[in-house]
Amino acid sequence: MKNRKRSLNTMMLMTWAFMIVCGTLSAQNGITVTGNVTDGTETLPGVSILVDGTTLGTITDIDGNFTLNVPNEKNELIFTYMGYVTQRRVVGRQRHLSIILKSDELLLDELVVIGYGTARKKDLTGATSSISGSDISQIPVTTAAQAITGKVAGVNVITQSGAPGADIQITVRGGTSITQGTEPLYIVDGFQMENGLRHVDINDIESIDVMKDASATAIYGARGSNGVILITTKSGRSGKTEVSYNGFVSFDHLGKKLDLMGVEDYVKYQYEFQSLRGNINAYANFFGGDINTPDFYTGAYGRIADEYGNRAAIDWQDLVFGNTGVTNNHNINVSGGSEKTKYILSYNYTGEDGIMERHGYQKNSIRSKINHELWKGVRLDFSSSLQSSKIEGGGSLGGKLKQTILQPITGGERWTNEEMVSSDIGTVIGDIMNDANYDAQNPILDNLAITNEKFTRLVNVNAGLEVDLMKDLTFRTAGSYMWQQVRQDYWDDGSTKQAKANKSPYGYGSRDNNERFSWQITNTLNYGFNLNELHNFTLLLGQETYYMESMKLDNEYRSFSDGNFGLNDVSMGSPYTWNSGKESSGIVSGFGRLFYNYDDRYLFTGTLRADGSSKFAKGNQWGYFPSASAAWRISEESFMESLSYLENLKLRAGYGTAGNNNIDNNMYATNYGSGHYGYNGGDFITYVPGSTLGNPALKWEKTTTANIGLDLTLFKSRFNLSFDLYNNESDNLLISNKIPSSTGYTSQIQNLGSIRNRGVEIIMNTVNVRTKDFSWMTDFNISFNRSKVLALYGDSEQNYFIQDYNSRMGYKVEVGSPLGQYYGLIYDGIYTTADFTQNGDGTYTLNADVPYLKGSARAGVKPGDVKYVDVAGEKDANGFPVFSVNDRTVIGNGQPKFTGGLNNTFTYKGFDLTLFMNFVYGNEVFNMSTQRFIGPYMANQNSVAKMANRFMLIDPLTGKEATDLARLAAMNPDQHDSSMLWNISQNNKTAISDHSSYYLEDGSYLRLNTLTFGYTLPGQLVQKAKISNIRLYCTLNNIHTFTRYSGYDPEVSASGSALTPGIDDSAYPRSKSWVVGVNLTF
Amino acid sequence: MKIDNFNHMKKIQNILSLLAFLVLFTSCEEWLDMPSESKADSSSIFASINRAEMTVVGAYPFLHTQELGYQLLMGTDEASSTESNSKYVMSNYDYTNLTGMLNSTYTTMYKAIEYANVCIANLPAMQASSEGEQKKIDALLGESLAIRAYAYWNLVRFFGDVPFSLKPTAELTTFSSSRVSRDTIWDQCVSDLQQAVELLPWKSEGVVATGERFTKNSAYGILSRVALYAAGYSLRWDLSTVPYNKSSVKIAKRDDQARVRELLQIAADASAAVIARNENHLLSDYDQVFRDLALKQYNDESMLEYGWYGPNSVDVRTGYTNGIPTSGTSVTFGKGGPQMITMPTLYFEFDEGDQRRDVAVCNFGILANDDLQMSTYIGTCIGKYRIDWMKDRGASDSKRNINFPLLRYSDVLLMHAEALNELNNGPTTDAINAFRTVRLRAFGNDASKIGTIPSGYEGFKEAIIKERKLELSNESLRKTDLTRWGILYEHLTAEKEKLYQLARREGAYADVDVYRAYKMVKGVLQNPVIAVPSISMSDADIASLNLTASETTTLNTLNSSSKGYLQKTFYESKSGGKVYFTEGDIPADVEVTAVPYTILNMFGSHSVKQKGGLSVEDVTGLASKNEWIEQMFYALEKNKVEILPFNTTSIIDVNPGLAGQQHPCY
Repeated sequence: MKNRKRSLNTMMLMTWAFMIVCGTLSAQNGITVTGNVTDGTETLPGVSILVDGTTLGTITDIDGNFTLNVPNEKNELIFTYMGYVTQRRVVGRQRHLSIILKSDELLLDELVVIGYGTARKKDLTGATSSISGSDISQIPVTTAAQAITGKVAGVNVITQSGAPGADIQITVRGGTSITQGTEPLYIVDGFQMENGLRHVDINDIESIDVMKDASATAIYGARGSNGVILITTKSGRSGKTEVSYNGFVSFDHLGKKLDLMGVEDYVKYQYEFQSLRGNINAYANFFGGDINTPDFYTGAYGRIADEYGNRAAIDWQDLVFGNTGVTNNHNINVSGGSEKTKYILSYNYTGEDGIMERHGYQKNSIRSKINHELWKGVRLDFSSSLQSSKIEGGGSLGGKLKQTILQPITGGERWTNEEMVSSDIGTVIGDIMNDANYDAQNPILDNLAITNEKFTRLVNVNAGLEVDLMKDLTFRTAGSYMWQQVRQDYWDDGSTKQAKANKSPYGYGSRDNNERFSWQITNTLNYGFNLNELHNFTLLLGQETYYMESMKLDNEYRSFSDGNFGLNDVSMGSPYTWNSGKESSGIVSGFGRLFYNYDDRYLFTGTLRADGSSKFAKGNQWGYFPSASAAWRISEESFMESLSYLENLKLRAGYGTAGNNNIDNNMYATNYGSGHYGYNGGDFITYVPGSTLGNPALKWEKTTTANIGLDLTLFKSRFNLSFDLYNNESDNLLISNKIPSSTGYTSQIQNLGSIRNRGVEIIMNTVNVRTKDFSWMTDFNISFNRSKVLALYGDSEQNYFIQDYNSRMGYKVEVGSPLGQYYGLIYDGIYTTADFTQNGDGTYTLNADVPYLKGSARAGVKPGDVKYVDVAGEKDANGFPVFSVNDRTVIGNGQPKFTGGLNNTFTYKGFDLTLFMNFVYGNEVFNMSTQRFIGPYMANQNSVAKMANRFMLIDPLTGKEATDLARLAAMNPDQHDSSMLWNISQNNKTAISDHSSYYLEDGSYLRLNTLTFGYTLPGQLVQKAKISNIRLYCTLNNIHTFTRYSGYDPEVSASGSALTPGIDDSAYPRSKSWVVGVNLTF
Repeated sequence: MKIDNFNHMKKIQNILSLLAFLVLFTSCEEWLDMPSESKADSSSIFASINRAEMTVVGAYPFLHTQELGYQLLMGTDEASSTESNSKYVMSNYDYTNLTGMLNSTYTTMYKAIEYANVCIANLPAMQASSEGEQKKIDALLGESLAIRAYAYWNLVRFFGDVPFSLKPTAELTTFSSSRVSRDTIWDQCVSDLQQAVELLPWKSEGVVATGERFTKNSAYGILSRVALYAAGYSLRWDLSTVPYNKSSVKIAKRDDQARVRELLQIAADASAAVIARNENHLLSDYDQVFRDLALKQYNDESMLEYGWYGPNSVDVRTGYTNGIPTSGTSVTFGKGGPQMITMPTLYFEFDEGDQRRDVAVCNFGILANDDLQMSTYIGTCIGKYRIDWMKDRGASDSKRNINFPLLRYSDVLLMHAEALNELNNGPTTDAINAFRTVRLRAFGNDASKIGTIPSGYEGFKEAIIKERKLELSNESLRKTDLTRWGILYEHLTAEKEKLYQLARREGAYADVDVYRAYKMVKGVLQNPVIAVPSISMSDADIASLNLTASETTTLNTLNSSSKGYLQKTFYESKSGGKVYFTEGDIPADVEVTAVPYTILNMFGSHSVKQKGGLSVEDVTGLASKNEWIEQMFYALEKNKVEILPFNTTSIIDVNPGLAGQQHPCY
């Protein structure tokens, strides 16, 4: 692909060259040559023709004809056309040339990285998707993971929030495992690297190859079941030194604001809230009025309208998230070399300032790679990288967002908006309102007071030696060493409420250090031979050892003295808590692979790998992972030759197993750590087991995949289609399962059950239009995945279990059903006045046929209370229908029905335009933000705008709770409307935490993700500046999202677990941005 | 030359790679064995007696929880919630939250049980090299048995029939577990404690240094307690049919009358053993008992206490959720954030001269400048876990290093009296003596003040019910005491009526002070102050001040925390004792000092912490009916709330054995 890209660039240059020529040299003397270019059947328009060694040239017209003046007969003409092999032709005596260009099968001859080697794409038998570095490096994002979002079928990339440096979650084919991690295995240049797509700079990537089915991943055995992502970094090329620069500047702003209540609605809400809790005195204390005056109640709503009707609200969202963030990204790389030695050196800087003050991300990285041929047949390669990054602001922002939304939007009669914004009213409100739980601290001041920084330093050194032992037999030994330090600094300057509680008016803070290293040694033997020219064999044998060790040391210091230097001199404070730990793990492996190719028509691959992992107890350490796959290149058969438009048709089938050991270390034992008990005036150190019970029977999780695929290339590569059907079955699923708390533990890692993921993936690339000046290409991919729980081995007869996410939402994992099922109560709107009968004494009674909450007082039910559907049909002792937790049922699913991406690229002369869209359909998102921001929550806190459209219990005329049904009906004319919200009486205290369908929303979306408009400067201009290529571009990111989701963004995932997908846990809002950038090559 | 090099290289490579292959494959079994280097496991924790001790003591932090000093402590005639959230709801017996009931006590007690089970299974196999070592191992086994029984006691008293296991979890074939009859569990607790008593040394033997761990003394005391619970009433239902039949729900003692008597005898004997040993005594100063908890000092009265120390301790929040309220943050004390007030009636339950009153009911809050502000009747807080009795601010504001009392000698005395009264259908001499000992200390050994001790069964039982409140208030026993006597509903319903009487100043409360005046005192660490002193002011005294109309309104506005008090200058005689309210009152020959005083309407809301107001319609200054009293115990329902339902998501959902086993009323 890289080569193809280059030829494209070359072609463009030549085109420009030609235009210049046409303009300036057409009057010159020489030989006039005419001709016609075809591909054997059809004429080819737009073929570039250049006279070698000159700047003379032309392109063919719409009928494939050309006319060109050449200096003499010895001149050689070069015919270049995208998708075709470049042809050279000496002019000679002919004055009319008929040129037939051969289709460039480069696309199919392209080498693809597979485990421990490469293969021609056309020889692949497994399901692999590839993406070239040049396809992504021009996308102005800071990580490769973001760049491949929506671009690879079957690979789902979710950036967990819009925070600078936010975590990115990647799953391949639905994540076959349901362990804590569904992270695929990353192999960078042959070596395992965690978070590879994040750690390798996007500009350094030559190619990304995603291995999706077990027949492809089985070579990685133990760790392959979640898919394997192979990243190959760029290497230098022999030839002239090339310097390139890529850079962009991006301006980001908040993508969407949540709609909140305005001042008047807010004050009415407070009045009603406090009235219903008998705290009207607290209301008056804040918003004015003397409760002992006669018209306090009757005049309350009038006063609110007078006092607050025109008062401006404090726009906290704007104050906190309203900044324009600026992202800078610069990359320079130098490459070159001789026949024997090639090198590349690359430097990258990324600087992101978030849309919130003091939130940002900075990264510097440098990478070098040298390939050298020591002697003939002995090659050495060496690469190293150093990366240093800093995340400021602590990534996720759940807490600060909550504070921002819940802030009072007016200071009532006590404070002006300016005072509210600039002082820590939150603490005072808590005291004045006598509410120690009041938890909305001023997010602006908190943010200023707290410095939260995470520094990561990562060093990687890889070296390999390859020796051709004899013809076709190559031995390679390679070693890798990685060292990483992560330091997390937290410093509170002493001005927060928490600092005071921590006895630290001059500050407190913590410094957590985490250090780890790993090494890997791989030895492989590769032997290729053939029999009778038809039977081609390639044999691989290998051995690998991997070891990782990590250590941590965490310290917290408090009670600093005045004038301190913070964490830079902790002796000015006192140590508060400290702890440390050490862990190690290792894998030992042996593996082999056989490729067999008969006449390029029948292909077969077989692999076997054995892995021993330290994560399991003796006896369960070893796992064996075989696989076999075959392909039939139908298009190579003689009977297909007549179909000239058919370039490639290949049928693939594979079957294999891969494993997963993605669990914490030492989970086979119950680990006793330190505990503390106050004894005899001091701290007695004890042994206490953690909350996870050891499981000595733990063994490998195994995934068996069957994959059938079809690759089709038509019309000179103008139409490419890949179609894959797969069926993944994972057994002995490793999962941290909740166990009854009556065991004394909360969870145990278990081989819990088996699940199946089945799906279809379609990838299509087409060249829709290709003319002289204009081209239009489309890349489309879509994947459908369906999961099903096949069995649960648990220790009970039960065929399901219920998992919750932070007690906020339930999930039911059930045999025969898909994963990701939300489990809760079906929201049935509110009780209307029609559900009650008025009594003689002015009170009302719930009608006999209307259900109420089991265990509660039936007489206490009010119009406007939340109602759930009584699924189970339970009755109370008096025969009245009730709803209870027994009415919980499956209320939705967090897994999408399909996901995909659509990319359209248009080029016109030097201009290029790319529009990328991605889409997700058919999933529900749990809007935890709504659950958190909706009322009734706490006094003096704001809520979302829809809360203003609630069932009112307080009569504005009397200022007191109405109990007359007719009056209540008149006050709430929309009460039968399903969008009306519940009242804010104490009765609905749990509506804000119940696991109810009210909080599930359609998470489908179509996002206009990026629009890039670029211009490559004409060669003439450029060459004068000794620049071989220069492209300027601008991009709009996150332009618009078509969705019905009411939160900030439907692309969410608070939890990395496949058991609890689709949670919007108030992430840092994703921003919109516009970007300007440049790509330069010298 | 080049070729030579190449061949040479090749050989070396071959040899090296072969070596690598061989070495790695042969030794990888051992290489893969990577046990944790920062954690111990079940094979190493009993490697020595010291390690075994570390493991046994590891269970103690799980014998008390924040809930036990907070949500489960209040909602009685001793304390009430000042919040309007889930704690308020708990405090008022509204247990209808669909999924979010309490679960930390449940979870925590089972941790203690599991850790004890591991020790009980492993300690007997340890080899002792000397008699002294064997004694130590025996004592550790005794502690483990007592820990397990104590934890089950905490579970059963709140949740009734619960899952029950005596084996380490690792040895179980299934983790699923169903409700087991509480009688079975009680019997096991009793026999465990009986065994523990045999194994444990007396405190005086010096094996265990402080009451933070079990000794024979405290094991006897807890045995007595558990036996009384086992013999008492509780809310029961038929466990044999699932789902449970709601109509089988009733409050009853266990069926077996003989066993009930046996249990009472066990209770009486166990407490008798402690009394006879004469190692434990009541301190003469009641406040010293609690000052010692705050100061990490130990005494003969406190027999078992929850040791709480340092930043790594479990977050039980003693002194924070249940201590003195503060307004703002003082540098001396930091923040105290109690979410409870003592029941306003509690203060009046004490007879005149009872030194326990001002300790149990703290009559002040601390302001940001360390001033002690006197509280109104509705603003008094629990006085036993005071941050101003400490030497320093502790580890942090929510981790104050204050120990929590789990068993005191006075409790043993009262249990002894109660058990004997039940066994003999009336108090024996021993019973009366035990009871008198407690009363005498309360009144500084002044027998003339302790009143008459009833001699009949009913009267004596009533006296016990009241005395346990006065002596043991807010030590997290009251709610389940009332339940085991089978009177939770009746007692609290009557209590609510008393609140109305107090608010209306009727009946026993007709003559309580309406106005009191006090002067500001600065709070200090290790504060000698127990209560802020005050002067009663009658209506006539107030009239003599000739207040303006607006001052009168302010003083008598009860429903606003910024009103209901006045600041005035009074005159103290230099010779001491006498305070004159106005200059006109000062006799000619008396020298006085002018001192600022605050007159407080005791029925008002001017307190650092309060909830609602304490007054009803016919009392001056009130705008409407009293919501707070109206709502008190609003969800209290007989034959229902005596046992807590299980949390759906974190208890039932994760335990298949409990499917369909929710409390039948929820």
